[in-house]
Amino acid sequence: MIFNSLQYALFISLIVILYFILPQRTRWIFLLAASYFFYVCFDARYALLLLFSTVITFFSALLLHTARNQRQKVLYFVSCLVVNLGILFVFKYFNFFSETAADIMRLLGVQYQPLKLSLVLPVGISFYTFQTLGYLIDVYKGKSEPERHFGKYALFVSFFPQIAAGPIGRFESLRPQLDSKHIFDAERIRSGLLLIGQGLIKKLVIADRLAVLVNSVYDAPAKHSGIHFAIATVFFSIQIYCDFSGYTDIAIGSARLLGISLMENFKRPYLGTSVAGFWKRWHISLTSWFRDYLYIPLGGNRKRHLPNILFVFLASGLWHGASLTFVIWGFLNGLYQVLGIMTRKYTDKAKFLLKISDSSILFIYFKRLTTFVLIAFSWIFFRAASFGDLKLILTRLFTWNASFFANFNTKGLGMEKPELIVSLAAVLLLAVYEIIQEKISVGAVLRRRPIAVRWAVYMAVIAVIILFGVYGDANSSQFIYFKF
Amino acid sequence: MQTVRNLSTSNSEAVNKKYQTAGFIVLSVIFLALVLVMFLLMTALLQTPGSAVDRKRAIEQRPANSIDTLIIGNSHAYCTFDPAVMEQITGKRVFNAGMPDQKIDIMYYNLLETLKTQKPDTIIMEGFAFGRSDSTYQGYIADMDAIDPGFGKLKACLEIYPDKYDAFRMFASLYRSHNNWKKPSIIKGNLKYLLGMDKTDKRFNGFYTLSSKMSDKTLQKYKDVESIKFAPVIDDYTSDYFRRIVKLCRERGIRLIVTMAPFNDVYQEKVHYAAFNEKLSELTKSEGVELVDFNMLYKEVGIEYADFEDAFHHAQHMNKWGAEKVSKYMAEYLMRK
Repeated sequence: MIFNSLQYALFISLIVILYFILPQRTRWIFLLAASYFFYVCFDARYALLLLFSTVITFFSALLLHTARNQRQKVLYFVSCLVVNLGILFVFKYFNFFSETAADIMRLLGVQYQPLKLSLVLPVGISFYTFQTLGYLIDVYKGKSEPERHFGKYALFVSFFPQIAAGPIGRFESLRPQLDSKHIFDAERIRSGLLLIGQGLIKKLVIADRLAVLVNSVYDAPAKHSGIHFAIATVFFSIQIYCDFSGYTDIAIGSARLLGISLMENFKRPYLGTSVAGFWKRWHISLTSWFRDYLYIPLGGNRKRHLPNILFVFLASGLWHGASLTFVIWGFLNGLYQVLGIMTRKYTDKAKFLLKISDSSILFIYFKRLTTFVLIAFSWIFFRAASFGDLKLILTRLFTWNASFFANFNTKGLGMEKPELIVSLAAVLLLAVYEIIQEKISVGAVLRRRPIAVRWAVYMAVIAVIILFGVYGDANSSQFIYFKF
Repeated sequence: MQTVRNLSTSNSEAVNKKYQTAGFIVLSVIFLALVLVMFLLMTALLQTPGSAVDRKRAIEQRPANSIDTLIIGNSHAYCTFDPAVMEQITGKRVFNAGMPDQKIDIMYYNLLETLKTQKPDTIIMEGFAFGRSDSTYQGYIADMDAIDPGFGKLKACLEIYPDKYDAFRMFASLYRSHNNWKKPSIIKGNLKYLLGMDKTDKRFNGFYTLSSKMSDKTLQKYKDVESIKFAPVIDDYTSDYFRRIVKLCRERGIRLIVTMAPFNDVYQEKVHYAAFNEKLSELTKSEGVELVDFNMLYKEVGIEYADFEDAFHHAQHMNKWGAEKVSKYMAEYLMRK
């Protein structure tokens, strides 16, 4: 049951109605049942894995709290860490490491067939593993009291809007909301629905339409040259943003309907003026997780600052996928930031000499553009289907096809002309919308308008989704981040 | 005093909250009604023109009770029976409501829809429609577009397709046709029709003229037979729908005639026609329905196997000369009996 399906529309409608009808004391049970039902719809077998992970972390946290001494505490903590990361390793990384080891041995002259497991990656495993580990670390460090109610803890882990692809919730902010009293608030429902609508536009109208061109180019790299890759890469940069932030909007909007606030996950990332700035706005729940549970414990910016950044981004790359391409992608993003810090004094000097002010609009947009180019380049590593494809794309990326503009034909890009026009218009509108949102909340402005204006906007949102959305026969597409 | 004031404030807050919730529900209902209107409008603007829509519009534009003889079925019906020829002989108003690939289940519901405005005295049902609508084929689903959205259509879709998703696809034509925003000519055409500026040709009687002859390519055209995936089937499912049609006609005093349009010998073999024919004869006999099987009437109609080039478009459909011969015979049959 994906968010952009009719089943989900029916599911969430029913859940919201029943949630507010049910007495307060039973609502958490209802949400827990609904969350497991939602998860079982993906694959019933992996609900057991989710339950297992929940049981392990629940009891480990209790044991941590009752440990007699530090040694025992560390033992419980490390055991739980090993079990949870072990599950993640088996399902997500085993084949990658097994193949990499075989490749290394082959270079050393030892040839053997690597052992491979035929396992389907459970939906959301990276997300809920990190969520439970975050909780465990908080309890270990004494930042949080352990949860003593298993059912409510299970709901914290499995809460349906965020189980499949985040945002990765924090115990101290999410847990109290799950069983506190939420009254029916029309304004909140309206804002939740509007956010869901915004998410659907991002996913169905922008991401999935851009995906047509992106897939056509990236799935057959041998047929394309530099300009095609440039267009496809820019489109992919927008696609992945709209896909993931669209998912997040629907997740946050769904939770909001129930009165629960999830963590903000995207804050107009392409308006960031540096790569570091981009990462403060992109997938915030994961970035902040890495910051709090890896970067700071490693020493943060107090000691080994630059290696810490590289290490964290390597880990982030590996978190995204068990493939060399993701590792390089993570490393590249770390490297951008390290180089940025290393060259800061020179760039500052250059700005001083050229009398460029940091607040100059032109300079801000210049920085946004260069950041976008750098990030877009890194997405090539993220999107390439394999290392072989990546090598091919990089060799062809700088080839120039002189006849491209002379014989411009959108079919070569896998898209019809009207689709390309709609895609470009949608991207332009999105950019304008994000720039406005950066200064004022469009939602807040809309709330102050007369009902006729508000309804016209709501109807327009629905009409755009129906008309320009990519759906229907053989068109339902999964969210990109579901595979992580 | 303070406690009383607090109680009164909390009571008025509760009442306010209640009113707010009630107001929200009322506004939501109004909003959903507006969304529904928008859905219907978009459905009408974006629907893909084609056989089902064309026939629906043709029937819509006819005055009520202006069809005396209604022909139903699939392509075998609309390529075989020419209402113009039949009208000349019978003097009655004939309309061919055959739709491509239509199966008996959808045909039953389309008939119900047509009978809302028309009261034919005779219905000619072409028997190649004996079959079940297959969810994988767009053509079957599109035939349901002749019915306006509503609970009746929803019920029909759910009855035909056990799979809820397929039923939804069939019900919501907008789900299939929303991509027509890329084709301004379709929107323009639909808009013109909605505004009453583009009347469907009033002479349109549902007959589809195929004029080519097989000539020297006969042998090649015979090869079409190899690609035939569908054969008429009489089983519990199709018999049930047939009985519903029979009941419907009886209740309304309509004469029902089942026919089988002619098709060639190779084709007959391919679809195991002898076995089908036996079952069809049994079924029509048991239901007391007339059966006119043109595959048994080649001589009477004036078609011979050797003469295919003058009668057939290809292995299974008639060309206009063949259709003329069959239509004449059918009309004379109606007059005779």
